[in-house]
Amino acid sequence: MSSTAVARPSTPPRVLGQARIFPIAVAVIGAIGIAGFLWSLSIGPQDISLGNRIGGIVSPNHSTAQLIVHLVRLPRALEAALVGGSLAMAGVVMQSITLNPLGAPEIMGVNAGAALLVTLSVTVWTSLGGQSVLVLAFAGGAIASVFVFAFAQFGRGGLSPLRLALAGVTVTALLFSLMQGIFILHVETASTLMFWLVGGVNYASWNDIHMVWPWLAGGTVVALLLAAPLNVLALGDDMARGLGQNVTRTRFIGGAVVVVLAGACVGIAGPVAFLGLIVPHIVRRLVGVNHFFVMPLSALTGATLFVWADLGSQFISSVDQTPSGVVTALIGAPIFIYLARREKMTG
Amino acid sequence: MTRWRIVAAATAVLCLLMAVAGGASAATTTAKAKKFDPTCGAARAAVRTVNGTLGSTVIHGTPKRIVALEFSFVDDLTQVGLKPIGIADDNNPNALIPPIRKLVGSYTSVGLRATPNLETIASLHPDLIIADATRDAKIYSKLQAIAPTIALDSLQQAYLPLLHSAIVIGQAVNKCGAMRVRVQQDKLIMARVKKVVPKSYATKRAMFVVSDKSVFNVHSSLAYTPSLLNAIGIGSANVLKPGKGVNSYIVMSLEDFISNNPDIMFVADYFPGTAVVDKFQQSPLWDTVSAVKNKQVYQVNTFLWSKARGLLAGELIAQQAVHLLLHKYVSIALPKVASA
Repeated sequence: MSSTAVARPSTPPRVLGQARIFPIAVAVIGAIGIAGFLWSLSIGPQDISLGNRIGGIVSPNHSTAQLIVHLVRLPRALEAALVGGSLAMAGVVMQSITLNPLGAPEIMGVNAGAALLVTLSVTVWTSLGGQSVLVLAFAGGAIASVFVFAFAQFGRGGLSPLRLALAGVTVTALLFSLMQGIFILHVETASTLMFWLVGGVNYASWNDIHMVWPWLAGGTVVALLLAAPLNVLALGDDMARGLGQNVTRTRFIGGAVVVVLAGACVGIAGPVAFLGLIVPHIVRRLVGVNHFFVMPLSALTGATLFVWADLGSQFISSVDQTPSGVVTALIGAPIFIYLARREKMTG
Repeated sequence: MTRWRIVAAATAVLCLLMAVAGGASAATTTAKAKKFDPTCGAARAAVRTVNGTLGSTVIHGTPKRIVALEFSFVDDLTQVGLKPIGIADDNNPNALIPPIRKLVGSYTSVGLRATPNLETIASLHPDLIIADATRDAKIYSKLQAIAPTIALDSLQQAYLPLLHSAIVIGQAVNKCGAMRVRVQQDKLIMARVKKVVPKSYATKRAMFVVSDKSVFNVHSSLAYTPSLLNAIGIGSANVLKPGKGVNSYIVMSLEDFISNNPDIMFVADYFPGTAVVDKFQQSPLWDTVSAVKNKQVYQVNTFLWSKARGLLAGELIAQQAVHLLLHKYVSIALPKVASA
């Protein structure tokens, strides 16, 4: 994993080449994503005809088949796309504002902080539901990221990518152990909370989507608008300041975007791991470090990856539901390894 | 000559009748003389080897200080007049169903069933520990170091294996006869309950689901409650074949549940109002389920239906099921049985 992939821009010919790759990548990954989306509408315990699937998407009547498509399969596929895309974008922003290739909501404590407070809503504050849980997720993510940044600055040497990563891993481990302690003390729900802890969209509903889409939309817009400032920030703090950028403000806004995107995703799908870490690296190997390309393509790639992960999870057991998060790394890791090896071989 | 033949034949018949009567009388006299022995017999009272799921244990005498690490074991012990001194009650005395709590009286909590406190157990100086073969497998050797330990089936087990566990508990506590009688009574009670259940219910598809905020967890036919319902003549919506690695519980999505389409539902809801089942109820698809259309969705107590699994608990579940479904009250008073 090369730190120059985040900190330094590519040379011009490579930039031009990667600019040409961008629309191809969008088309190919988009096609794969759409294929996965459509396939996920067709699999399930009930055999539903193509006509009913189309009807279920466009204008469902009251037949069970179309209601299943409209109320179960469609929101599940859509939620997978939204969560995957949002977590991937959160990863891009996190890695850019921390100048750290290991920056990801799941490593920097954001997911763990959100998950801890959501866990409390399931075990202790059980009357809470809906938007309250979402607010808890935001609060947890924000508090955790503040802790991470604070710990990373302890001692001599100040903030560095390594210290930030270590602080993130430490805080994440602490928060997860607190969560597990809560599970143990609430044994009635412990085993089923483990299902939630892996992360997934198995119980997706239109209610969840209606609840989070404003936050995800807002976070996405701000993330896309941050493309230019993040390109400048990638040159280093001194250079960025020299070019007139308010580095602190950029980092603050970026941090807020990460908390909103990751917190909303954890609130509805649990702490899905891997997407925020790996997808930005996969995308950078395709289109370079220009955030004008990286940001939208990461959203698309993350959405595609999680849709296919959810699809794959439905084939693991013919009897049981498997959380989608189980499959995410199974799909993403080989892709990343292939791309890393290809870059090594081509220099 | 003919007259003498008649007399001889009559005499022979009379003798035969007297012999039979005498034998019966002798037998009766013998039966009266044989008193019911609630223990395991003189030969096994001092030392006996009891076979549990994780291995055999040698037990000396009659244990008086018993620690039970599952609710079903507590239930079974109370049914033969014993009170465990230590119970893994998940730090919640209300987890014991009220009739059992009343029978047990005071006890020391040894913590969670998932992770019982070994120090607390040791401090009680037990002379017998009854552990769960699944949950406590990893600490079985540590428990054996504290006191003679027998590990039996409870978690994720069906009704019949739990009856077997009760029998083994009887052997362990030197109450073989008493427990055999109690198990026999349990079977008779179930037969009594089954009598009032119409035969058509055998082909009905009843679902027992435990729901919390994370999952919709359906208990299959391999789990306790559905297999008990099956024993009283109520069919299961989720029949699984036993096998290695087969889980008794099935996590279902909304579509899985709609496809399963049970005729009857017993719902144990941990978080009424905010659990997954409550979200399902808000969906228009909920109304397409047969159980909903037939108005046969029943809320049941989570501790009794999901966790208890003992002799008395099973009888209470059977009684409640019939009352909910058929509006009939069946007594679960203990029937008289011939001493085993």
